[in-house]
Amino acid sequence: MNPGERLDSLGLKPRRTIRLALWDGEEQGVYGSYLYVQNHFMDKQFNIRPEQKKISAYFNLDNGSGRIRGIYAQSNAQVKPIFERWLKPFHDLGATHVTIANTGSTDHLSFDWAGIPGFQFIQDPLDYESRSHHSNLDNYEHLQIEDLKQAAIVVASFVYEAAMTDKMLPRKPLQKKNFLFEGF
Amino acid sequence: MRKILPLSAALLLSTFITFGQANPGIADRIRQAELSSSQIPWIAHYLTDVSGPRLTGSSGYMKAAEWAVATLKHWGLTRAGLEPWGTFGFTRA
Repeated sequence: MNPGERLDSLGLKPRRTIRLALWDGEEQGVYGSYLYVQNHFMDKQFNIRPEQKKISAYFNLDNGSGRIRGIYAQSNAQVKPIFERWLKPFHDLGATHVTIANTGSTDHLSFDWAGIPGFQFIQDPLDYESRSHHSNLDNYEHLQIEDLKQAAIVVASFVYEAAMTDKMLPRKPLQKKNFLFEGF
Repeated sequence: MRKILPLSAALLLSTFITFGQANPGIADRIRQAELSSSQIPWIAHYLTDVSGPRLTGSSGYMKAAEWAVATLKHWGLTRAGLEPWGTFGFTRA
């Protein structure tokens, strides 16, 4: 599950710094990632901090323990062919699809708001709308360990690729709009 | 047209080099490492069963978060730490 540790155990030397973030308060309005982004990258008055210009990409995994089927390119047309190439080694693991579509309601939106390319993986929605998910019945026994391993492989590989590129990933123009979950 | 074609081919090639796979063998190495010696079961065990229920900002959450920071530091990520997420969160008395 931990892409950083997995890369390190292989003795790889990524060219860019890799940060691992575990967010809290997502369901209440992406509190953790939104405050992190404000503290590090851009405030509510759209003042850009120097760090904002140095982040190539943010990758998000949120929707339970179902395996990865692909990734949302979040309307970033330039990034789509890049992700298609990065996903190729994992077609046999069932991760095949890069969609140009947006997806919402999770922590990559905080980064997208601040002009940093942020992407969410597409996952199998296991038990997603049942009584286990988002409740105190959602315990260890509901984890699909084999699916989590597949997800760790795909996420680690995407993070590694992003850490090795000469240039940062292409960005969309900064919108300077109030954040979707502001005031939640 | 004869001049434009090689130019566009060169542009495509440079895009491919810039954003191609850094090293095609790495994906396989990551895959083999995860499938042969995954850390997921015990990490998940500590984050869930050992930490207990983890509502935002609750004591169970803090237990899991502090375990994560300590574990990351143990792995050599010396700058691991907690960042603020606002004032939301409580443990029901």
